[in-house]
Amino acid sequence: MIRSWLSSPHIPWYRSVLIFRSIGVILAAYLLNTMEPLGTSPFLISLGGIFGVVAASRIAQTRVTNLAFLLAFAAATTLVSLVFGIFNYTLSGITPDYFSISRLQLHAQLCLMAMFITAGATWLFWRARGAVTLEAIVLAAVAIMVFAGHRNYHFDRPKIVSSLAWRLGIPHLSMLIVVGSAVLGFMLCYLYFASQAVRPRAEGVNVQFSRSRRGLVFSALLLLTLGGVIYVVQAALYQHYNTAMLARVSNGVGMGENLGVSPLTFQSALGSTNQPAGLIRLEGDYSDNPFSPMLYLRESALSQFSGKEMVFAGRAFDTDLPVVSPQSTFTGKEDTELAPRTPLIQSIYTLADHDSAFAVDYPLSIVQLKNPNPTRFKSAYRAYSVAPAFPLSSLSNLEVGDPRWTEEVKSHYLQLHADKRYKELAEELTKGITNPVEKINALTSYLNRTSIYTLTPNHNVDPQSDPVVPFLFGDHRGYCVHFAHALVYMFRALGIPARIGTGYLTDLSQAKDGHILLRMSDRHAWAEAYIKGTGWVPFDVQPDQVESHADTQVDTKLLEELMGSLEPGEEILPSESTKNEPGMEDPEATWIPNKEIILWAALGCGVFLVLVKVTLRHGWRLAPTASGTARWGYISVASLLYDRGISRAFGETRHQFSLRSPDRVLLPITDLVNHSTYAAHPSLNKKEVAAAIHEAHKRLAGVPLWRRVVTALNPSSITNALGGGTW
Amino acid sequence: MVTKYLSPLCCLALLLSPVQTFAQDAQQPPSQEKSVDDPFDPFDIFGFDELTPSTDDKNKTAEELIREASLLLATARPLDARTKLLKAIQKDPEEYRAYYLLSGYYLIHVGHYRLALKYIRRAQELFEKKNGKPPYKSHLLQLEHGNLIYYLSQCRLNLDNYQGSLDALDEYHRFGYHAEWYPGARSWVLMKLGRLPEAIKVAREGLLSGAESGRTLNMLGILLSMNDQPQESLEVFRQAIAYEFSQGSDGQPATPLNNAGEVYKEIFDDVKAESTFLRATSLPDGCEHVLPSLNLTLLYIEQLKTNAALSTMDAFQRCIAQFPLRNNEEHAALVNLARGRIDLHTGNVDRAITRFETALQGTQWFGKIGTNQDDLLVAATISLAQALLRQNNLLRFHHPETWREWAKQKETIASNSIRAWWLMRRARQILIDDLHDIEDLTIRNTDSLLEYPTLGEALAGLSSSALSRRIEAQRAKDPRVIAGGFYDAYLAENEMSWLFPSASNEKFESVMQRGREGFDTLLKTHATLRRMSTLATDSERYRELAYRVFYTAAPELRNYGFRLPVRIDVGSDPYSLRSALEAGPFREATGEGSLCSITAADPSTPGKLALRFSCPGQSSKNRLAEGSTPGEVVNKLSDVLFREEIRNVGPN
Repeated sequence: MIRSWLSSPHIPWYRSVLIFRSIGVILAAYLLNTMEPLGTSPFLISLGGIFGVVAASRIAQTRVTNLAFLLAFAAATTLVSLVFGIFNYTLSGITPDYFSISRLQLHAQLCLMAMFITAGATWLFWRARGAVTLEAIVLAAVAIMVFAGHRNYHFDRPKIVSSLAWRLGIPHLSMLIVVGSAVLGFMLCYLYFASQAVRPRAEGVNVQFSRSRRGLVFSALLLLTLGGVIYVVQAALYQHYNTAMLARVSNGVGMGENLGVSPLTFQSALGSTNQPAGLIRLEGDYSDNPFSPMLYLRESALSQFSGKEMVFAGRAFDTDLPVVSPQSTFTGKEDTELAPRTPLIQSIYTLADHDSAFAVDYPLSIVQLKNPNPTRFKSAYRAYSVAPAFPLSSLSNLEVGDPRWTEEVKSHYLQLHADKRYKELAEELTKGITNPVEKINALTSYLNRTSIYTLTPNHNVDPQSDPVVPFLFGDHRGYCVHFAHALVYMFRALGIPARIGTGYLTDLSQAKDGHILLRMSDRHAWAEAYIKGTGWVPFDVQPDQVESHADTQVDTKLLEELMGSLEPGEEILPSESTKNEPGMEDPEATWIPNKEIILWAALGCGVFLVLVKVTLRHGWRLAPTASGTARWGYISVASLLYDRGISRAFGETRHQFSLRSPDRVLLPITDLVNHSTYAAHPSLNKKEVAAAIHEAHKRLAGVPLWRRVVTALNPSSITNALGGGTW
Repeated sequence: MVTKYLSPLCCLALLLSPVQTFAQDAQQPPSQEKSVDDPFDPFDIFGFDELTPSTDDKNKTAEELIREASLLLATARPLDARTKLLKAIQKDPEEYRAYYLLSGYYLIHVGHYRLALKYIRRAQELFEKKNGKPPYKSHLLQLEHGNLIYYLSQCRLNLDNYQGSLDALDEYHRFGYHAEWYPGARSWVLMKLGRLPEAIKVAREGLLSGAESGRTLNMLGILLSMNDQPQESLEVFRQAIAYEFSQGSDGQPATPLNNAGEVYKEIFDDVKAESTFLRATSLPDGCEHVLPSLNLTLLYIEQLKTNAALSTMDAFQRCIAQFPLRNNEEHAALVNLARGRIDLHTGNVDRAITRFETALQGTQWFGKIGTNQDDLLVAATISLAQALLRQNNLLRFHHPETWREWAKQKETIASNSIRAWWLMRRARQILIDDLHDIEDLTIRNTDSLLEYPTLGEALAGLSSSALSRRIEAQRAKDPRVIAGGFYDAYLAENEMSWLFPSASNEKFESVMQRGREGFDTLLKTHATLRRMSTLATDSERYRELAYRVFYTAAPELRNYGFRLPVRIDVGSDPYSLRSALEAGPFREATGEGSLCSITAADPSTPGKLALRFSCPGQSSKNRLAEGSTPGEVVNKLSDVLFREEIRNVGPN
């Protein structure tokens, strides 16, 4: 019964189409459940969907009309509702659980819905011309939608794939390519089988004889081309990825500390993503943080004015910067004359490539840590900082600049913008104010009030012109890069030494156990002024008006997962201690196979495939009867021919095929099979049958060695057998 | 709750480690430049001494580090304490007290219960390794062993291993240990195991035997409330409140006050509930915890006092702003849920949707009494589904300016309908599956975060016979008369969805009449609007009900997709204002009665169109709207009439 439902004598590749559609249904059910909990087991939903595929495929081969099929749909729905209604009416309340039937109904509804959807789509597939094209478009659209979400080269979701990449130590881009290729391969195979299956309907049932060798050559070429395309695409992607990641611009703030170059961009702050950039672990409390709950982590500073923008000046001036890679060590010198500062130790585990180490200012020392998970963290270091511990209100009466500076340093930090308008505006806004810190506050407040935060200012600026002008003297739309430049220009115009700090700005209120997850969207640039006896202090613009922003919630699950990788190991907390404790397993944790399991699974699959091939070739030896030996012998020879590219064509009888086989090698064994099947009193001798099979094999063995090797390795006969093809 | 009751144990730990000279760790940076391994590296603990940079801690013994950590924990410097404890473990991996304190740190400060359990089990092993198997003769060892068992029971409790937690407490009892916290902790676990009478007995005995009064009284009050003894519960809470106030600045009276408010709310004594919650939120320990504010907000929403609800949430967020390091995760979902409901009832539906989405995405920390993620999930899911349906109604009344906007509108309506259907279905499934046959059907169940007046919308899709039997069973055990109105409303809504209009109309009329004036405003408004759906829009009854809603909760009229009957006088109407108005949330009505009217007005800007809305005797409802096109002016008039402008603050 099941066998007859799963095969159709009229349709080539019928069973393959069913298998592919069923796999699609299973994948869709599990994927949907990952995206939003369905409330019903995806396994049950898949079963409903697969039943819809099989039933609709079978009924579509009969004379049932479209209208009758629709009516059957409606009748089934009504019937199910009616049955549940009756059960609800009669049974609810009898059991202590009032909604046991309703519960069942909700689960059944979803399974039925899956069945109806897949049955409808399958019905259309078999009955409507162009349905395959439509499906191809839908599949392509889904693939685009799924993969477009990963254009930042980072696998954010589904989480299981992302976790698998971490577990296996595969770069996310590679994982993306692997999954993309798998999906593409699946879709291509499906479309191939689907088009084969619907072709007879389109062309009318006609017999086509296979062109043996061309098929083999064509398949090989197709595989080679596909491999080549995947290789070229992944190579191009890697190249593009590397180019893009070299800049690693997010929020308009890039990386890199090249003399005379700015890592900041003015055109757009788009590209800021939720991609994890690093994990900070505070090794101590920081209750004196004057910027609480925000925390500034400085990576670089731009103090030289290039005539157009602020650029990196090098170690000659900004001596407080470590300017070392995250894989290096650094030892600075503490400036003991600076105002209240507190020691703050941070362990920093980077999750993305960084050119420079970053830390809370001032880092006095950076030492390397042993990377607890090299497949996950790019680098691990600990920064010893003396962090600000002064209340911001205490700055109000202080002077700016440092009397210990040489004239050269002083003039460096006071280098003015050639455009007089900055000075004019700064003076106008600070008219009547004498205290420099109050002046700073007045200018910052002005930008807070008037600026509009947007990720896309869309200013039309000549590459040689000052990109801040359209912001400050134009529409006031911009982002941190514009704000920081505008403030620094105006500070300097008023004689206040200033520079731009770049790095990360994060919210400590989102920390857990002192762990903070940095995202690329936390990249930031801010203005800094040098306050006498205090050092460089950030003065940041926080616009009242926000047109668009890139705020995203911290992925707490990821944060906890990363924190887990820093947890003490077996040496300190042996798992034996809690072996029998219930609740130790995270109920929401998804099982992710490790490398070993995957290798064993792959090995198992390989062994299974080899066994299939061995069974095809040598199964006849185990057949208990002569007729069985004949049938399996036929399969043995036919599968050998199949692997050489000679297969039975659609509509061709076995006898016709045997006549077409090379030297009619298949004819004797075919005659024996036909005899055992159709003769009223078959009289087969097992030895004779075996001799015929041996003879066929012997005749087929007379080919060059390379041909025999290729034949043995060719998996075509396996796929044909598993795909439900006939011999 | 956990934090409150475990904090004293930190102090106890401190007492166990006599404080010696304490010098704050200067945490000087290393002087050498060579690369060193992680001194905190759990995989290389034995190389610590050789590899660690020179620090003051390096010269301290594990015991000294533990003492300092104890003090740091008691002085709210948990990260410093954690670091010192880790260093102590690296110096002496056999020192159980470091593990014990780290377990407390993860249990109290972080809420990482699995790690806390790992530490406490390790601490137990090391303790027994050092001191042998219990029982112990030394009083100090007994005290330490008792504390280890207590942490173990708390870790298990937080991991929902209630039997394991009880086993630990049994072990504590078996060794003859005694502590003030024991009766409260034991009754709590028994409550979680559903052994309510036993839990009450333990709490009562504990009080008689001199157990920690504040905690035990509070626990007993909760237990009595759960055991349907509200008056006894209130009496116990009164004692708990008095006790906490008697503790001066160390007392935490907001907790029993909030619990008492919940009991008042449950017995529908809204006035006392409001005053109790207000008192709780005005106290230092009450303003920073979300529950009293949330309870008060929900009470106000049921009374449709949206401004008061808004002020309550504002006050809470102002208070919490004093604690910038408090994790947003702690309350963000609940705040978004409450604010979203306020937005929904004031016609700010788009913002409500955003807030509900955020509430659904965010996880929420809960105490271990009863409320859990499923309660939040179901409340946010139903709220979001309602908001999507309301948005559809708003869009149907909205005049699109361009064909793109029109197409977008249609697409949004279609997707909203599908999503709302799915969310309601999902909510029903959670109510039945995860919340045990809709346990939240008990109106104003303190465990729940549901909006009871409109819960019927979710229940409407359930089987009529099953729901009616479930409600009958609920009625049989619920003596509260006022709750009957809610049950009627649910049944009516369900009957309406199964096309039994006459039965449902009768029930809705009854709810409209029986609902308490000034308290059940949202329930009455909801019933009125549902009743209106079966009335002819030109009937006198429809007009009467529409104006009743318009004067009490104008945004709800448009939210539910009803048109307000008005007199329209737009003169010769060269711009087809009349048809634009009738395509919006208005319907032209004639005849007698005190109808509001819409008339064409002189625009302030030449070339624009203006409409004036006025109501006889209701000057506060008078509005003027201007626009360039008939559609725009009607949209604006609709917005000024059916949307209350409220500030957009807080997390979103």
